[in-house]
Amino acid sequence: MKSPRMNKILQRVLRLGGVVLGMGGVLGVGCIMGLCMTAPALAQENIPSKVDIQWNRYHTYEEFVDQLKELQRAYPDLVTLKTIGKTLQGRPMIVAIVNDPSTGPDTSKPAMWIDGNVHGNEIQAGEAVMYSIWYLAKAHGVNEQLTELLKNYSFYFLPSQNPDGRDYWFSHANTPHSSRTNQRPVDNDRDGLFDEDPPDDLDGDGNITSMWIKDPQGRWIRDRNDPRIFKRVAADEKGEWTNLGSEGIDNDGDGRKNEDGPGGDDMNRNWPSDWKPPFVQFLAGPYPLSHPETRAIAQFIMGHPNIAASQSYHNSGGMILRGPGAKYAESRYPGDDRRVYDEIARTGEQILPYYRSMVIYKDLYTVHGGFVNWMAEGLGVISFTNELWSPSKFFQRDVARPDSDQQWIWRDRIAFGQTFTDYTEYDHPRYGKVLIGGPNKWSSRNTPTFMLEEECHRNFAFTMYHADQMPLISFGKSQVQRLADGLWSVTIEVRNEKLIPSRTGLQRQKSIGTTDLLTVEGASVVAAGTLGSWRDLQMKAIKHEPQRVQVKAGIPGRGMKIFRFIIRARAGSEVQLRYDAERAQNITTTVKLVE
Amino acid sequence: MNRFLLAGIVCGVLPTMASPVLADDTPGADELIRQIREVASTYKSVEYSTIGKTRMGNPIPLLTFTPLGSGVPSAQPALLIVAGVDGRHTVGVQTAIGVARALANDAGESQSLANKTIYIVPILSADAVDFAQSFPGVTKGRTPTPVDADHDGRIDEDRPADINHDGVITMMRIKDPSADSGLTATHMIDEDDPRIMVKPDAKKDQIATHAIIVEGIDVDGDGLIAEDARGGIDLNKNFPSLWPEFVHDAGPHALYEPEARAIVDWMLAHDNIIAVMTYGPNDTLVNVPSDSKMDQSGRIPKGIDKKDTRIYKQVSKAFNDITHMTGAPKPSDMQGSFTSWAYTHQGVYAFETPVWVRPDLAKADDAKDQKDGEADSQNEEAKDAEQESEPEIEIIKIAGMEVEFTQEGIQAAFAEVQAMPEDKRLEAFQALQDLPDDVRQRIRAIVSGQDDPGATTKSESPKKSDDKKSPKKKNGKGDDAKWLAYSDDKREGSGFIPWTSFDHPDFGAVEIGGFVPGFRMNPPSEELERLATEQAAFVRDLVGMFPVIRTDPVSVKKLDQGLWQVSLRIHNDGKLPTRSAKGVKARRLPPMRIEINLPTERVLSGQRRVMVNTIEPGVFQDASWMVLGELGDTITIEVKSAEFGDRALDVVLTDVEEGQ
Repeated sequence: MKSPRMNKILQRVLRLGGVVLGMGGVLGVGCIMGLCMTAPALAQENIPSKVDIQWNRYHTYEEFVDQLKELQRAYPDLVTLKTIGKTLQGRPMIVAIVNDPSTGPDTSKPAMWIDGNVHGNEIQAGEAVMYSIWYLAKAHGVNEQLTELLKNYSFYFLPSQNPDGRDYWFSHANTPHSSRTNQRPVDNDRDGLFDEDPPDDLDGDGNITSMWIKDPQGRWIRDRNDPRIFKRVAADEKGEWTNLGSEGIDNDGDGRKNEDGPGGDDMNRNWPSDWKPPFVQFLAGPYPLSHPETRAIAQFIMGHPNIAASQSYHNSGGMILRGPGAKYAESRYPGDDRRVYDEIARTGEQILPYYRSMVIYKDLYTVHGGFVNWMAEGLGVISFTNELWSPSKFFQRDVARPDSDQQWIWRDRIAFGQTFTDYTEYDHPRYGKVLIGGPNKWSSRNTPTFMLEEECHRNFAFTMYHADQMPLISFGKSQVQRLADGLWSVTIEVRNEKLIPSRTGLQRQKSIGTTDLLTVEGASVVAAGTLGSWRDLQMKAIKHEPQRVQVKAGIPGRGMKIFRFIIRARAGSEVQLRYDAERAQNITTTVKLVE
Repeated sequence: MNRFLLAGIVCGVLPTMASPVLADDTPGADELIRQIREVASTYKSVEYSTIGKTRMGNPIPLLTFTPLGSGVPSAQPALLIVAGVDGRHTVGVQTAIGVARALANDAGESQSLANKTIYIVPILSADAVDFAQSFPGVTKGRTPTPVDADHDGRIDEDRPADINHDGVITMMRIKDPSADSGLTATHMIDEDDPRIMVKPDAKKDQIATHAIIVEGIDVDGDGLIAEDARGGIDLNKNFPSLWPEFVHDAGPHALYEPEARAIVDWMLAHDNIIAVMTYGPNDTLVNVPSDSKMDQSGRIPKGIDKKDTRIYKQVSKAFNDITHMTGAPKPSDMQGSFTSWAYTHQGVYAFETPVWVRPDLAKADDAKDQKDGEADSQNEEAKDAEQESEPEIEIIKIAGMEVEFTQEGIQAAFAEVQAMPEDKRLEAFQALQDLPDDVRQRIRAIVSGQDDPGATTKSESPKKSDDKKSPKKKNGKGDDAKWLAYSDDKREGSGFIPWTSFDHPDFGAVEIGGFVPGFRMNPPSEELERLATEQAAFVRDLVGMFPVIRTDPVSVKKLDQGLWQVSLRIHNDGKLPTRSAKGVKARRLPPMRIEINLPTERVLSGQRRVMVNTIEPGVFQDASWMVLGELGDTITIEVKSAEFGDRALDVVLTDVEEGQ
């Protein structure tokens, strides 16, 4: 670890100096290092924050908004809030820009986009984003690694893609799975009426649980020792109960119950790449970016071509997901990009116990028009989506899915029964006497509050590792040679010490964004070319515009490219080289024409 | 440096010249909008409103024809006419206005218009229309939105240009291009007419002598000519159906342009639309679109659904009876086009016609053998003063599948082959072996995740593997010759600029000339009235075929004391189904609902709410219920429909057979 960091600092010192030094530069490193270190690393000590946030509880969207404002007030240099639009119900969509202005504006650096909670019920995704802002802010100037990270990169955080859905989850009776969508009224049962038959919280416990009816034909019995447990009977056994599905009545008198609830469209199916209409992709919305939320986010992202990495948090299952969303989109992941994904995900599996690296269409299901798919397959941004919380974490050991007995140990002995509503009798208008109760909306998908901070921290750690793989380029070794009177050859390498190339494979393949540009000023450039290695004698000529070389493939991850310019200029004069990249900080250097 | 200077001079010299693309008397967008408003102020039955604004702030006008008979426009089945999607196609806009006048004129007489609504959006993009008429540098019908087409960090910097100052951007032909020019000879001069450039026929020992590119210079010195034109986004590539992602004029995302989004939002709010008629560069009426191609999901037709083919043929016949068109641009899958979206996503019948074709392709008694889609060679041969790097998608046949020769197409096919049973799979791999070497190499590269080595160079394209089925390779000469003949005989040679020598800063001696851009798309103005009359006649025919809902009186039959059978029969008296097959599958609208207004417990059999997806023409739909009730009770049955409005029918329970 020590030596790469030394290198990193060395590179930075060299770059800030704007001069390409030879070996002699090493001498200066020690003292400059002394200047750079603002504080020593703090080992295990807690880093104090100017903003108090409890990480062992969940927060409503309104609380998020207050916390964001507090963070901006407490760390005004570092945290800037930008309202990018409003939700359908009028809630503000707020992006927190986290940037160290001493090393330039956020747009001058490669940035990572981090959001969560596009599905309203997947609430801990929002906390994971908030935690990241909070931690980055408090660690700045205190923790060496994160301070360094913010010198090189900036961050765009959106705590919730779906504030309306988040609000509905908190303020209404729900199951763990409901309130996933936005709140646009949709005629789910195609009867011409909108949202007319939602589930109903008949027992008034604030949750939508299930209904059971006594039935001589039933295939279920209640456990003799613990009547909360319904057990399916064997084929030759007689049962006593039938499950009537989720809690509710037939509000519209069509003979069915709960068939047209509030909302909505799945906003994670509304993105432009491989978008398919609702008859192919369920809940896709009327057209790509049809929702105020998705459109505002897309406008922000398209307006920030410096975004080089992205993470969109979901729940649940313990997954580090990447695309493609559909099998036929495999070609959107060229081999070099796949290697980047694999390496980041491999490290992620170490950081996140019980999380597995997976591919959406193969390991989960086919998704058309997903957000992470647009980011990766449309914009060529290295993007993951983490599914927070794995049931294995109930017992902290390799249990893929706890069985029924284990679940009861969890519910009774660890959660003290708080995730379960006991069965009570209810006089149903259609079925008569029924039992209502069961696992409540907190019971399965959300990280238990006492484990929330760890969940947030580990995911934060993973995304910071991901962020730290964004391109970091510098001019490396250079060589000046006199070819004839007033004719010079300047050879210089451009290095990228991080894993993600300055242009991803898909960007190169589909011409996404502006190509990288290497320009020479201060002299007349006669010819230009590239070298495969320093041992090459001949360069591969660049035919056009030698003064302004378009580097369509960018600088590879953990690699370099060597360029050679044939220049006409007086001896002793200086030429300026400049490398511009959308997804890396632009760099310049000066080369003096002397032998 | 001097290249930039030259470009500046070239651009600066002629900014005020009128566009040569269109006839001098072609009205601009302002004048067209004035004419549209005039129709509304002249005729009481026509209402003017707007559905939004373009990016430049121009209105998007809508004319609404109040239907004859009773009812509000939104409760009657409607036809929507749209023009001005492609800015070059002014004949479409003018025809839409002409049709509006004609329909308004006989609004009182035409029975086919009774109880129907007509909506007309005559100029979807005033921006694109104005832009196509501006000069210099515009040869496409796109919007003026700036786009960095070549991704080099400079926007619209290398445009086609009128470098020989003849007032037109045409083509350059370069004889024996030198090695460092970066050009390849692909064409030769035709032996019969030296104005025409043809592709050489290797069997006749012909060789290519000339390179052909659009008129311009390498302004930015990147070795490419006119690779980053002024503007813009092609609205006909900006709709979400089969949206061609990564194509530079398709927009950063579907519905990026305000015009595209405006008409989609408006249509989503107008469920009564049965059919759409677009006046634009494509055709779905002379040649019915393919019904055998699907997108990668296998559920969105590139063309039409098989079950709708019969209807498209029926409409096509009516169209040809009126217009006598025998040739038109050959059907494509129109990726990202408005018409394709209206059909595949919205689920309405959607038709498009270029309105005008070369006169020899629209004669009543013309021999059918000319009907082989010749007018399209204008696209194929890049004669339309443009240089596009959008190779036509090739279709190859592998193991009985028609496969698009794109990375995604091939990979999808490969996945399908792998999923086949053993024997079929072997057969497929055997079939693969029979393909030409270069094609096999390309497929191998794609399947292993590499770039398609043949994708960029058209000359190395694979031959269509099924020789018998692939159409005869055309060199485009026949069509060019016919257009030249038309230009010479009927248009005083105005359609073609003779080749003239020019000393080109990049290539030395070249010749500049060719067809005037837009010449093949727009007729002389004296033909406009005839075209409008024709299209108005077809509109009357088309709405005359619209589905018509008729309900029989509700029948009541006493089954026993207090027990009744109540039935309703609904007919479709029109010539089209009440909803297209695609519309049924698209599930955008709720089905027609026939509801009996009794509490659930009084309905003993029959669904309280009967759902009807579509009723075929000449066919009826029954709904029947066994209900509890007392003699003299009134029962209401409601028929609710997105397209046809709602109606309520009352019936009194009585002993007398056959209802009220």
